[in-house]
Amino acid sequence: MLTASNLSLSRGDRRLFSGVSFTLESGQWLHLEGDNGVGKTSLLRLLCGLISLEEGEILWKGQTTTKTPEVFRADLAYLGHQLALKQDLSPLENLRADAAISGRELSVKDAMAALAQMGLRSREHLPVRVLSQGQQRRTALSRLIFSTAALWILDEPFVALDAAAQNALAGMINAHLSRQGMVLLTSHQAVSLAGPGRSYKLTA
Amino acid sequence: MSAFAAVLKRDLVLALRRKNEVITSVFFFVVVAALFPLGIGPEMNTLRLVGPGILWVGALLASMLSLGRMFAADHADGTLEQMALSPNSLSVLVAAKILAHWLLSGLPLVLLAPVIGLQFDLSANALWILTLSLLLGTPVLSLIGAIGAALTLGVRGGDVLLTLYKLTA
Repeated sequence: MLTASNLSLSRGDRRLFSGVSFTLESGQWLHLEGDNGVGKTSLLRLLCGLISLEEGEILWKGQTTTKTPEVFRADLAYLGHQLALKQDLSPLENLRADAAISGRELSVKDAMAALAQMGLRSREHLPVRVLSQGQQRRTALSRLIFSTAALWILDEPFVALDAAAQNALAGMINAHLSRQGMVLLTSHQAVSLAGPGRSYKLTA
Repeated sequence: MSAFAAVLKRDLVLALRRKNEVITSVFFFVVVAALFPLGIGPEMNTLRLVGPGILWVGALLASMLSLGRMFAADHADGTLEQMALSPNSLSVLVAAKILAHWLLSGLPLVLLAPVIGLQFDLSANALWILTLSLLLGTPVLSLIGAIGAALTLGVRGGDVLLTLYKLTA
Protein backbone atom coordinates (compact mmCIF):
# COMPACT_ATOMS: atom_id res chain seq x y z
CA MET A 1 0.00 0.00 0.00
CA LEU A 2 1.24 3.45 -0.95
CA THR A 3 0.22 6.33 1.26
CA ALA A 4 1.03 9.93 0.48
CA SER A 5 0.12 12.46 3.10
CA ASN A 6 0.23 16.21 2.87
CA LEU A 7 2.85 16.45 0.12
CA SER A 8 3.85 19.84 -1.12
CA LEU A 9 6.48 21.05 -3.52
CA SER A 10 7.92 24.40 -4.51
CA ARG A 11 10.03 25.19 -7.53
CA GLY A 12 11.95 28.39 -6.93
CA ASP A 13 9.49 30.89 -5.44
CA ARG A 14 6.50 29.17 -6.96
CA ARG A 15 4.48 26.68 -4.98
CA LEU A 16 3.46 23.90 -7.36
CA PHE A 17 1.05 22.05 -5.13
CA SER A 18 0.41 21.52 -1.46
CA GLY A 19 -1.64 19.28 0.76
CA VAL A 20 -1.65 16.32 -1.65
CA SER A 21 -2.82 13.17 0.11
CA PHE A 22 -4.00 9.84 -1.25
CA THR A 23 -3.83 6.12 -0.65
CA LEU A 24 -3.32 3.40 -3.21
CA GLU A 25 -4.20 -0.15 -2.21
CA SER A 26 -3.19 -3.46 -3.82
CA GLY A 27 -4.95 -4.04 -7.12
CA GLN A 28 -5.92 -0.38 -7.47
CA TRP A 29 -5.03 2.29 -9.98
CA LEU A 30 -4.90 6.05 -9.62
CA HIS A 31 -5.15 8.41 -12.55
CA LEU A 32 -3.49 11.73 -11.82
CA GLU A 33 -5.17 14.55 -13.69
CA GLY A 34 -4.39 18.22 -14.04
CA ASP A 35 -3.56 21.00 -16.45
CA ASN A 36 -0.17 21.38 -18.09
CA GLY A 37 2.43 22.69 -15.67
CA VAL A 38 0.44 21.93 -12.55
CA GLY A 39 3.13 19.54 -11.36
CA LYS A 40 1.98 16.03 -12.28
CA THR A 41 5.41 14.90 -13.43
CA SER A 42 7.02 16.55 -10.41
CA LEU A 43 4.61 14.73 -8.10
CA LEU A 44 5.48 11.40 -9.71
CA ARG A 45 9.21 12.13 -9.43
CA LEU A 46 8.67 13.15 -5.82
CA LEU A 47 6.95 9.84 -5.09
CA CYS A 48 9.81 7.91 -6.72
CA GLY A 49 12.38 9.79 -4.69
CA LEU A 50 13.98 11.57 -7.64
CA ILE A 51 13.04 14.91 -6.03
CA SER A 52 13.68 15.28 -2.34
CA LEU A 53 10.69 15.66 -0.11
CA GLU A 54 10.16 19.07 1.48
CA GLU A 55 6.96 18.49 3.37
CA GLY A 56 4.71 15.54 4.01
CA GLU A 57 5.35 11.84 4.12
CA ILE A 58 5.34 8.93 1.68
CA LEU A 59 4.74 5.48 3.14
CA TRP A 60 5.25 2.22 1.28
CA LYS A 61 3.87 -0.80 3.14
CA GLY A 62 3.88 1.37 6.25
CA GLN A 63 7.56 2.36 5.96
CA THR A 64 8.85 5.80 5.08
CA THR A 65 10.29 5.47 1.57
CA THR A 66 13.26 7.72 2.30
CA LYS A 67 14.29 5.62 5.28
CA THR A 68 14.52 2.32 3.38
CA PRO A 69 14.84 3.44 -0.25
CA GLU A 70 16.27 0.15 -1.54
CA VAL A 71 13.22 -1.77 -0.27
CA PHE A 72 10.92 0.70 -2.01
CA ARG A 73 12.96 0.77 -5.23
CA ALA A 74 12.89 -3.02 -5.52
CA ASP A 75 9.09 -2.72 -5.68
CA LEU A 76 9.04 0.23 -8.05
CA ALA A 77 8.95 0.54 -11.83
CA TYR A 78 9.07 4.10 -13.14
CA LEU A 79 8.61 5.22 -16.70
CA GLY A 80 9.12 8.92 -17.28
CA HIS A 81 9.17 11.21 -20.29
CA GLN A 82 12.73 10.17 -20.95
CA LEU A 83 12.70 6.59 -22.08
CA ALA A 84 16.14 5.67 -20.73
CA LEU A 85 17.02 3.88 -23.97
CA LYS A 86 20.53 3.91 -25.39
CA GLN A 87 20.23 5.02 -29.00
CA ASP A 88 23.23 2.98 -30.16
CA LEU A 89 22.06 -0.26 -28.57
CA SER A 90 19.34 -2.53 -29.92
CA PRO A 91 16.03 -2.98 -28.08
CA LEU A 92 17.23 -6.42 -27.01
CA GLU A 93 20.50 -5.08 -25.55
CA ASN A 94 18.65 -2.21 -23.87
CA LEU A 95 16.16 -4.53 -22.19
CA ARG A 96 18.77 -6.96 -20.95
CA ALA A 97 21.03 -4.19 -19.61
CA ASP A 98 18.08 -2.55 -17.84
CA ALA A 99 17.04 -5.82 -16.26
CA ALA A 100 20.57 -6.49 -15.00
CA ILE A 101 20.89 -2.97 -13.58
CA SER A 102 17.64 -3.38 -11.68
CA GLY A 103 19.00 -6.65 -10.33
CA ARG A 104 17.27 -9.29 -12.46
CA GLU A 105 18.50 -11.80 -14.97
CA LEU A 106 16.63 -11.65 -18.29
CA SER A 107 17.28 -14.37 -20.84
CA VAL A 108 17.45 -13.57 -24.55
CA LYS A 109 14.37 -15.72 -25.08
CA ASP A 110 12.28 -13.84 -22.52
CA ALA A 111 13.44 -10.48 -23.82
CA MET A 112 12.56 -11.47 -27.41
CA ALA A 113 9.13 -12.65 -26.25
CA ALA A 114 8.49 -9.35 -24.45
CA LEU A 115 9.50 -7.35 -27.53
CA ALA A 116 7.34 -9.53 -29.79
CA GLN A 117 4.40 -8.94 -27.46
CA MET A 118 4.85 -5.19 -27.97
CA GLY A 119 4.88 -5.65 -31.75
CA LEU A 120 8.62 -5.25 -32.23
CA ARG A 121 9.32 -8.58 -33.87
CA SER A 122 12.24 -8.40 -36.34
CA ARG A 123 13.27 -5.03 -34.86
CA GLU A 124 15.10 -6.64 -31.93
CA HIS A 125 18.59 -6.15 -33.35
CA LEU A 126 18.27 -2.71 -34.94
CA PRO A 127 19.79 0.23 -33.11
CA VAL A 128 17.08 2.11 -31.21
CA ARG A 129 17.96 5.35 -33.04
CA VAL A 130 16.49 4.04 -36.32
CA LEU A 131 13.16 3.14 -34.68
CA SER A 132 10.20 5.49 -34.83
CA GLN A 133 9.10 7.47 -31.77
CA GLY A 134 6.24 5.06 -31.17
CA GLN A 135 8.48 2.00 -31.52
CA GLN A 136 10.93 3.52 -29.04
CA ARG A 137 8.10 3.98 -26.56
CA ARG A 138 7.00 0.40 -27.16
CA THR A 139 10.53 -0.74 -26.40
CA ALA A 140 10.55 1.21 -23.14
CA LEU A 141 7.11 -0.15 -22.20
CA SER A 142 8.14 -3.76 -22.85
CA ARG A 143 10.22 -3.48 -19.65
CA LEU A 144 6.96 -3.67 -17.76
CA ILE A 145 6.16 -7.12 -19.17
CA PHE A 146 8.81 -8.88 -17.11
CA SER A 147 8.79 -6.35 -14.27
CA THR A 148 8.43 -7.85 -10.81
CA ALA A 149 7.69 -4.46 -9.26
CA ALA A 150 4.43 -4.12 -7.35
CA LEU A 151 4.09 -0.40 -7.98
CA TRP A 152 4.14 1.05 -11.49
CA ILE A 153 4.51 4.79 -11.79
CA LEU A 154 3.88 5.76 -15.40
CA ASP A 155 4.13 9.29 -16.73
CA GLU A 156 1.97 9.70 -19.85
CA PRO A 157 2.37 6.07 -20.93
CA PHE A 158 -0.20 6.32 -23.73
CA VAL A 159 1.55 9.14 -25.57
CA ALA A 160 2.77 8.44 -29.15
CA LEU A 161 1.23 4.96 -29.22
CA ASP A 162 -1.12 3.70 -31.93
CA ALA A 163 -4.43 2.04 -31.08
CA ALA A 164 -2.95 -1.46 -31.03
CA ALA A 165 -0.13 -0.49 -28.70
CA GLN A 166 -2.53 1.41 -26.43
CA ASN A 167 -4.63 -1.74 -26.15
CA ALA A 168 -1.55 -3.84 -25.45
CA LEU A 169 -0.49 -1.41 -22.73
CA ALA A 170 -3.97 -1.33 -21.19
CA GLY A 171 -3.88 -5.15 -21.22
CA MET A 172 -0.52 -5.16 -19.43
CA ILE A 173 -1.80 -2.74 -16.81
CA ASN A 174 -4.97 -4.79 -16.29
CA ALA A 175 -2.93 -7.98 -15.89
CA HIS A 176 -0.73 -6.21 -13.37
CA LEU A 177 -3.78 -5.00 -11.42
CA SER A 178 -5.25 -8.50 -11.40
CA ARG A 179 -1.95 -9.72 -9.84
CA GLN A 180 -2.67 -7.25 -7.01
CA GLY A 181 -0.23 -4.71 -8.44
CA MET A 182 -0.67 -0.96 -8.15
CA VAL A 183 -0.57 1.60 -10.93
CA LEU A 184 -0.20 5.35 -10.65
CA LEU A 185 -0.35 7.17 -13.96
CA THR A 186 -0.86 10.48 -15.65
CA SER A 187 -2.65 10.76 -18.96
CA HIS A 188 -4.45 13.45 -20.89
CA GLN A 189 -6.48 10.76 -22.62
CA ALA A 190 -9.47 9.08 -21.05
CA VAL A 191 -8.29 6.02 -19.18
CA SER A 192 -10.43 2.90 -18.97
CA LEU A 193 -8.84 0.23 -16.84
CA ALA A 194 -10.24 -2.82 -15.16
CA GLY A 195 -10.49 -3.07 -11.41
CA PRO A 196 -11.04 -0.46 -8.78
CA GLY A 197 -9.49 2.89 -9.51
CA ARG A 198 -10.13 6.57 -9.42
CA SER A 199 -8.91 9.93 -10.58
CA TYR A 200 -7.10 12.49 -8.52
CA LYS A 201 -7.28 16.04 -9.74
CA LEU A 202 -4.12 18.00 -9.03
CA THR A 203 -4.68 21.73 -8.68
CA ALA A 204 -2.35 24.58 -7.88
CA MET B 1 25.12 -10.72 -14.65
CA SER B 2 25.61 -8.34 -11.75
CA ALA B 3 24.54 -4.72 -12.06
CA PHE B 4 28.20 -3.65 -11.92
CA ALA B 5 29.09 -5.88 -14.87
CA ALA B 6 25.98 -4.77 -16.77
CA VAL B 7 26.85 -1.06 -16.50
CA LEU B 8 30.49 -1.72 -17.38
CA LYS B 9 29.54 -3.83 -20.40
CA ARG B 10 26.98 -1.32 -21.61
CA ASP B 11 29.43 1.58 -21.44
CA LEU B 12 32.14 -0.40 -23.24
CA VAL B 13 29.76 -1.56 -25.98
CA LEU B 14 28.49 2.00 -26.45
CA ALA B 15 32.05 3.30 -26.72
CA LEU B 16 32.89 0.64 -29.32
CA ARG B 17 29.92 1.78 -31.40
CA ARG B 18 31.13 5.40 -31.15
CA LYS B 19 34.84 4.84 -31.60
CA ASN B 20 35.62 8.44 -32.55
CA GLU B 21 35.04 9.64 -28.97
CA VAL B 22 37.67 7.25 -27.60
CA ILE B 23 40.07 7.87 -30.45
CA THR B 24 39.81 11.67 -30.03
CA SER B 25 41.26 11.71 -26.53
CA VAL B 26 44.00 9.19 -27.34
CA PHE B 27 44.91 11.09 -30.50
CA PHE B 28 44.98 14.35 -28.53
CA PHE B 29 47.48 12.81 -26.08
CA VAL B 30 49.71 11.57 -28.90
CA VAL B 31 49.67 14.93 -30.71
CA VAL B 32 50.41 16.98 -27.58
CA ALA B 33 53.24 14.67 -26.58
CA ALA B 34 54.66 14.59 -30.11
CA LEU B 35 54.64 18.37 -30.62
CA PHE B 36 56.90 19.13 -27.66
CA PRO B 37 60.03 17.35 -28.93
CA LEU B 38 59.49 19.03 -32.31
CA GLY B 39 59.10 22.43 -30.69
CA ILE B 40 61.94 22.19 -28.20
CA GLY B 41 64.41 20.75 -30.70
CA PRO B 42 66.96 18.00 -30.33
CA GLU B 43 68.20 19.05 -26.88
CA MET B 44 68.39 15.62 -25.32
CA ASN B 45 69.02 16.87 -21.81
CA THR B 46 66.10 19.31 -21.86
CA LEU B 47 63.80 16.68 -23.37
CA ARG B 48 64.77 14.14 -20.74
CA LEU B 49 64.04 16.74 -18.07
CA VAL B 50 60.61 17.83 -19.29
CA GLY B 51 59.41 14.51 -20.78
CA PRO B 52 57.57 12.99 -17.79
CA GLY B 53 55.97 16.32 -16.95
CA ILE B 54 54.65 16.77 -20.46
CA LEU B 55 53.25 13.24 -20.56
CA TRP B 56 51.47 13.86 -17.26
CA VAL B 57 49.99 17.15 -18.44
CA GLY B 58 48.93 15.43 -21.67
CA ALA B 59 47.27 12.62 -19.71
CA LEU B 60 45.47 15.11 -17.46
CA LEU B 61 44.12 17.10 -20.41
CA ALA B 62 43.21 13.98 -22.38
CA SER B 63 41.25 12.51 -19.49
CA MET B 64 39.50 15.86 -19.06
CA LEU B 65 38.40 15.83 -22.70
CA SER B 66 36.25 12.77 -22.12
CA LEU B 67 35.14 13.63 -18.58
CA GLY B 68 32.19 15.78 -19.61
CA ARG B 69 30.71 12.74 -21.32
CA MET B 70 30.96 10.45 -18.30
CA PHE B 71 27.42 11.13 -17.08
CA ALA B 72 26.10 13.65 -19.63
CA ALA B 73 24.58 11.14 -22.07
CA ASP B 74 23.01 9.10 -19.27
CA HIS B 75 21.59 12.27 -17.79
CA ALA B 76 20.12 13.36 -21.12
CA ASP B 77 18.38 10.10 -22.02
CA GLY B 78 17.07 9.27 -18.54
CA THR B 79 19.33 6.27 -17.93
CA LEU B 80 20.82 7.98 -14.90
CA GLU B 81 17.34 8.29 -13.36
CA GLN B 82 16.76 4.60 -13.82
CA MET B 83 20.14 3.85 -12.26
CA ALA B 84 19.23 6.05 -9.30
CA LEU B 85 15.97 4.10 -8.92
CA SER B 86 17.70 0.73 -9.11
CA PRO B 87 17.57 -1.29 -5.89
CA ASN B 88 21.33 -1.70 -6.30
CA SER B 89 23.52 0.83 -4.62
CA LEU B 90 24.17 3.84 -6.85
CA SER B 91 27.81 3.90 -5.71
CA VAL B 92 28.39 0.46 -7.25
CA LEU B 93 26.85 1.54 -10.55
CA VAL B 94 28.87 4.75 -10.61
CA ALA B 95 32.03 2.80 -9.81
CA ALA B 96 31.35 0.72 -12.93
CA LYS B 97 31.02 3.89 -14.98
CA ILE B 98 34.31 5.23 -13.60
CA LEU B 99 36.06 1.95 -14.38
CA ALA B 100 34.68 2.08 -17.93
CA HIS B 101 35.93 5.66 -18.27
CA TRP B 102 39.40 4.61 -17.14
CA LEU B 103 39.51 1.58 -19.45
CA LEU B 104 38.61 3.81 -22.40
CA SER B 105 40.58 6.96 -21.65
CA GLY B 106 43.22 6.07 -19.06
CA LEU B 107 44.47 2.63 -19.98
CA PRO B 108 45.30 3.51 -23.64
CA LEU B 109 47.50 6.35 -22.34
CA VAL B 110 49.34 4.03 -19.96
CA LEU B 111 49.99 1.62 -22.82
CA LEU B 112 51.14 4.40 -25.14
CA ALA B 113 53.36 6.16 -22.60
CA PRO B 114 56.46 3.95 -23.06
CA VAL B 115 56.36 4.46 -26.83
CA ILE B 116 55.88 8.21 -26.57
CA GLY B 117 58.49 8.41 -23.81
CA LEU B 118 61.09 7.25 -26.35
CA GLN B 119 60.70 10.59 -28.13
CA PHE B 120 62.01 12.27 -24.99
CA ASP B 121 65.03 9.96 -24.87
CA LEU B 122 63.97 8.54 -21.50
CA SER B 123 66.02 5.64 -20.17
CA ALA B 124 64.43 2.22 -19.77
CA ASN B 125 64.31 2.78 -16.04
CA ALA B 126 62.61 6.15 -16.35
CA LEU B 127 60.11 4.66 -18.84
CA TRP B 128 59.16 2.00 -16.32
CA ILE B 129 58.66 4.56 -13.58
CA LEU B 130 56.64 6.80 -15.89
CA THR B 131 54.37 3.96 -17.01
CA LEU B 132 53.83 2.73 -13.47
CA SER B 133 53.09 6.23 -12.20
CA LEU B 134 50.55 6.71 -14.99
CA LEU B 135 49.05 3.32 -14.16
CA LEU B 136 48.49 4.58 -10.62
CA GLY B 137 47.66 8.15 -11.58
CA THR B 138 45.15 7.80 -14.42
CA PRO B 139 42.56 5.90 -12.30
CA VAL B 140 42.86 8.72 -9.76
CA LEU B 141 42.24 11.24 -12.55
CA SER B 142 39.07 9.31 -13.48
CA LEU B 143 37.95 9.10 -9.86
CA ILE B 144 38.53 12.77 -9.03
CA GLY B 145 37.11 13.76 -12.40
CA ALA B 146 33.93 11.79 -11.71
CA ILE B 147 33.20 14.04 -8.73
CA GLY B 148 33.59 17.09 -10.93
CA ALA B 149 31.55 15.57 -13.76
CA ALA B 150 28.75 14.75 -11.32
CA LEU B 151 28.80 18.20 -9.72
CA THR B 152 28.67 20.07 -13.02
CA LEU B 153 26.03 17.80 -14.54
CA GLY B 154 23.16 19.78 -16.00
CA VAL B 155 24.87 23.10 -15.26
CA ARG B 156 25.11 25.48 -18.20
CA GLY B 157 28.74 26.20 -18.95
CA GLY B 158 29.58 23.19 -16.81
CA ASP B 159 32.57 22.29 -18.98
CA VAL B 160 34.42 25.45 -17.95
CA LEU B 161 33.67 24.80 -14.29
CA LEU B 162 34.76 21.20 -14.69
CA THR B 163 38.08 22.26 -16.22
CA LEU B 164 38.68 24.72 -13.38
CA TYR B 165 37.77 22.13 -10.76
CA LYS B 166 39.90 19.43 -12.29
CA LEU B 167 42.96 21.65 -12.65
CA THR B 168 42.75 22.87 -9.07
CA ALA B 169 41.94 19.48 -7.52
